[in-house]
Amino acid sequence: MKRLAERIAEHRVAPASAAVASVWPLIVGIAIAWFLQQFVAPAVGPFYAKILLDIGIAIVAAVSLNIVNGFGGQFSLGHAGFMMVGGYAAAWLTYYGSIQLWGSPAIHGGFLGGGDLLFLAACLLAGVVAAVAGLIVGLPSLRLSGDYLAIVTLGFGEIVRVLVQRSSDVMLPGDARAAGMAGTLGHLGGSLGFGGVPTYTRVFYVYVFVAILLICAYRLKISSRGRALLAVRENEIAAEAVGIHTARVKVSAFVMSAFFAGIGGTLFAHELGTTLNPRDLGVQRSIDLVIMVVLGGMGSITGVVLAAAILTIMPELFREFAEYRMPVYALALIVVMIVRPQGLFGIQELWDTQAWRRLFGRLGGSHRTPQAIARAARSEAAVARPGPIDAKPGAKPDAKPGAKPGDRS
Amino acid sequence: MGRRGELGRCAVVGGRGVLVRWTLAAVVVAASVSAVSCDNLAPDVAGIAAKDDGTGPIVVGHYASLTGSEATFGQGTDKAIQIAVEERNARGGVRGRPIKLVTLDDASKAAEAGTVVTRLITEYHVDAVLGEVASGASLAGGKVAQRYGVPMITPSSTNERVTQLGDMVSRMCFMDSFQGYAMAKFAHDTLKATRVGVLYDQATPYSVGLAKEFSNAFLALGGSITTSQAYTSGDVNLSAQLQSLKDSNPQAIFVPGYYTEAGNYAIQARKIGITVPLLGGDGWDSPKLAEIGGDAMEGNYYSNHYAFDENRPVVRDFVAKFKAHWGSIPDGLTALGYDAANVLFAAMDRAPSLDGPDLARAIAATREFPGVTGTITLDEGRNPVKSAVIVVMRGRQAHFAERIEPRTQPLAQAAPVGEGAAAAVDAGRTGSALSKLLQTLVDTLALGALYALIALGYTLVYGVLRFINFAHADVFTFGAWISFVLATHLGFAQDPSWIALPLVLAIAMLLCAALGAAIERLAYRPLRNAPRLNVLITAIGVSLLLQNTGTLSWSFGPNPQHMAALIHDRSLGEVAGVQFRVVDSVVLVLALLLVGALQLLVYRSRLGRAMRAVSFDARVASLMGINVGRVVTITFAIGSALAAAGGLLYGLKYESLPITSHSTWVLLGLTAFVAAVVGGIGNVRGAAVGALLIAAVQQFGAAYLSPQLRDIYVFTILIVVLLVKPAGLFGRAGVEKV
Repeated sequence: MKRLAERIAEHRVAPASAAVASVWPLIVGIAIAWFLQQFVAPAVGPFYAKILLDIGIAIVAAVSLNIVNGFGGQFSLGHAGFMMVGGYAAAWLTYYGSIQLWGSPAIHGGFLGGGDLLFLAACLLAGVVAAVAGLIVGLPSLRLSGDYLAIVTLGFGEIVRVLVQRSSDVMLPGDARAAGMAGTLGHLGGSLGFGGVPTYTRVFYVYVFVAILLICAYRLKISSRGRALLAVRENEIAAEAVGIHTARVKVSAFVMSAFFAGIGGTLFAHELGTTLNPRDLGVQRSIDLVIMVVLGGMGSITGVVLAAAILTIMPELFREFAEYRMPVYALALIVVMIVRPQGLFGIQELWDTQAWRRLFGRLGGSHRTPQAIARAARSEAAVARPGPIDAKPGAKPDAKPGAKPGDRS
Repeated sequence: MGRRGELGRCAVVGGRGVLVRWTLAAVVVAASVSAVSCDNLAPDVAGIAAKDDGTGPIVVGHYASLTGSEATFGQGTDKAIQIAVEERNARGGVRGRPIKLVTLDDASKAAEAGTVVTRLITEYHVDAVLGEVASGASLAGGKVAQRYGVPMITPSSTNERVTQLGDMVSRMCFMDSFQGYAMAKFAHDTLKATRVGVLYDQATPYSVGLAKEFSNAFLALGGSITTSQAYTSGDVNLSAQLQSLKDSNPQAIFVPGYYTEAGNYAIQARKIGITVPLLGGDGWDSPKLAEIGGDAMEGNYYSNHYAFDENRPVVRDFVAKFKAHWGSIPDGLTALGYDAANVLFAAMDRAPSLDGPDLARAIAATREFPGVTGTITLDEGRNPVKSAVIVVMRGRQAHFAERIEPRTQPLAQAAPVGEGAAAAVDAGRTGSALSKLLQTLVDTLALGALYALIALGYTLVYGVLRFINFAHADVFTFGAWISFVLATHLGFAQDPSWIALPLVLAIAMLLCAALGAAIERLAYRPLRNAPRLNVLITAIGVSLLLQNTGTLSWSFGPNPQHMAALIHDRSLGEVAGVQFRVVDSVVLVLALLLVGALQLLVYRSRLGRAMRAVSFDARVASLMGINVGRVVTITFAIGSALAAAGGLLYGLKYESLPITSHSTWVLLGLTAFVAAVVGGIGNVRGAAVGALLIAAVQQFGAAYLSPQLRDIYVFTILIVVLLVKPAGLFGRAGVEKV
């Protein structure tokens, strides 16, 4: 035991080196986003480009939910509520802000021009506003767990929806200019939705945010705080017993998750072909996001990314079934859950899966996950045994305690 | 020892390892995404993959709500467009080319509408787009059509902002402003009303817009709005709003909404003693309106685009064709779909080319087009200048009452508009406090009984399996619909005998018990040892499956229905102006009996003891010789049977059944679930008490505070209760064992 603890301490990364280590993936992420924007999107045409956007937004929303739901095991059914809070805050800033600054809510300036900067500011505002909401919603998580927490978060989403529905019509540019920013606060479009939001969302921005979120999520997962979160998920009492401040860990997970959900809401609000309205960000959307997380594997970042992509594409594939579309989708969902209850990757990342190992050998092998360290310790105990890292080669990769969150009774 | 070396290496070059892994992962994800997209997403309509080159069929896209809450309207419009296309192709198509219709579903979601229109335009290369009924979806889709320069005609979105999107978007129906004006003028000039109440759906843009336009027009004409009451689509019980309306003593009540709900609300209004005529908009129009609303619809008026018994040849022709093809009578929105398609084809004939701008100009130049919904001339804003027809319901038939011509000059703007003015008049309300209190109490009891029956199912299943059976609300829905089918097919629709209610109740409970047991066996049992969240997702899947198979035409169908009266409903007596009706007492007594029976079963029988044992500790229970699987299946069956009883009672009390995918059911299920949680989930008595409490909060909150925020009351109570007593009011505080 002592040897294992020593080994873990040995590999703890200092904050500075962690920051440096994040720079490279970020640059790669920006490059990929740029590549997608410049070459992939024009090549595949507007429809697939839109799907690409939708996938990116779904990834932002689902991976951010994964922080609370997958890492932390705190079952949240109000994630779309955070998207709604953020999306409306951002739409309010870009729409009325554009009118104050340039007299019209149309797109202003080119790449990284005035409009784009306003949009990025709106992303930040949305993140902060949603994070505050996350703090408020996170507090009950100290007292509730499991299904009860789910219902409270669901209640939060519904309350936000009803409040937005009660807001007044969007002001036209002339009136809005006269009213000033503060005077427009209640004018969010009501049930018809916030019309006229400038469409700043493009592939590049979406995938830059995807990259930032993925890096943050990954760094969180392999950090001591992330391990604390995973420990809370596995067994809260045991986690507390080993000195984890469970309250702080849980609430900060909610805040971080809500921050990125707010950004996801912003991207959604500024996309061409969506109308920011309370109905589209209701319980149904929260449930869709939970499905992505569970399908991808609770806690697996790459799994959730893949699931978000699949679940965004799947309804498109089924669209031609017309009225049979939803029944087919529902059946597919049930079958997948029965055939693969642990999700695509379980808690593992893509490079932990056996298929990946077989394909790419040791190149991508991760040694950072708790499982990997435990495995390494196990195989060390059996020094004489060479071969694959898995102590039991035939064992399913998912047969871990991690696959059963919230299964305490 | 190689192992140690590897770990060390990784720590040293941690940054690069991450980089390599992320790059690889990104490439793999990107590759799989693009592989899926390229192989399977390509449209399967060969020959239209390329831009329109003047040969082959002309492709017309239609985006519609074929599934979801608004499936009724999407499916209706699509049927009409299909007829228009067939008709045109039989006459040789347009410009010597056949027309090909591509219809894609947007699941009643505005967010999907944008994607669908993008797909129609860029993948199917449609020459023009038709759709949507709902203004919210048309706004999302129209934005895309405008951006890509493809003409779009919305058949029936009445919101002003839709055609303001730009020159590509035009519409076939009159707008809210005109429709509101038409009804206001009719109420003021013909009905001689000066005081009118408004009841609108705050969640539907159509209803909100029309209510506002009507109020503005009516105030401008010199009338006053006594009170403006809002509800949220899916609210089952509107008695608080209706009571306020009744107290404000109006001469007529304007209820803009869809006919799928209007019938229900008319029934409630009549029961509460409102006798003044109800006024509606074009959303009311359907041959089903009288069927759903029954006698409560008599003497009500609504504005419409056409009357299906009009004597114009084009109307007769269309109605006959539609009936021959689909076996039903088209409603106003469906007729607009037919007109939209025909106006488009006429414009294609006239247009110099099928390019977007040319075609859009040709559509905008439509003058005097003889449509089913009247003579259509588009103004410079691409909105039709049309007269509206006011229709009166008499003898369960819609009859022509008056034609309101398009107004020539704008209305004088009334200074204080909307709620301020409404509130001023509101102060002079009459009505006694006692009758309000009694009415609220009666509603609370009836609604509480319904919630209790649903909540018990949640509680039972949670008790034995510890998971939220999201599909339970849909079993309830199926219970209501099965009762409807039984009542209709057993011939009880006309003459209910005493055997009707017990017989239908018994069969519905049996069928639903079987349904519940089947769901458990097929969908949940394979996941018995999986994480609970998976079972939850499966439950959501089952819920979606039930909701959307229910609307298929071979199933319960995409139209709302009116429940046959299984009992002779009459007033048992009246106290302070509040009627106590047979239905309410039947609902209450039946619910009490069922809850009592369940209580006996759980606490007094062997089976009940087994259920409690399984609930306490399934593993130990199985060691004691209890067949856990069997107990779980029986629990599902019992819960589902109770839901079926609840469904039947819902049908009896509210008489109209929304389609199975309608949000009414979801909201009902959600509220009942909240009731179960508040009472302490897993506890039979708790569920009953929680149901009453939630019903009371809803009804009293709606009656004495503000009806608009009643969902907020429910969830606030929930959050407060859970924060104070995390296991619910009657829940056992479990001791966490390590």
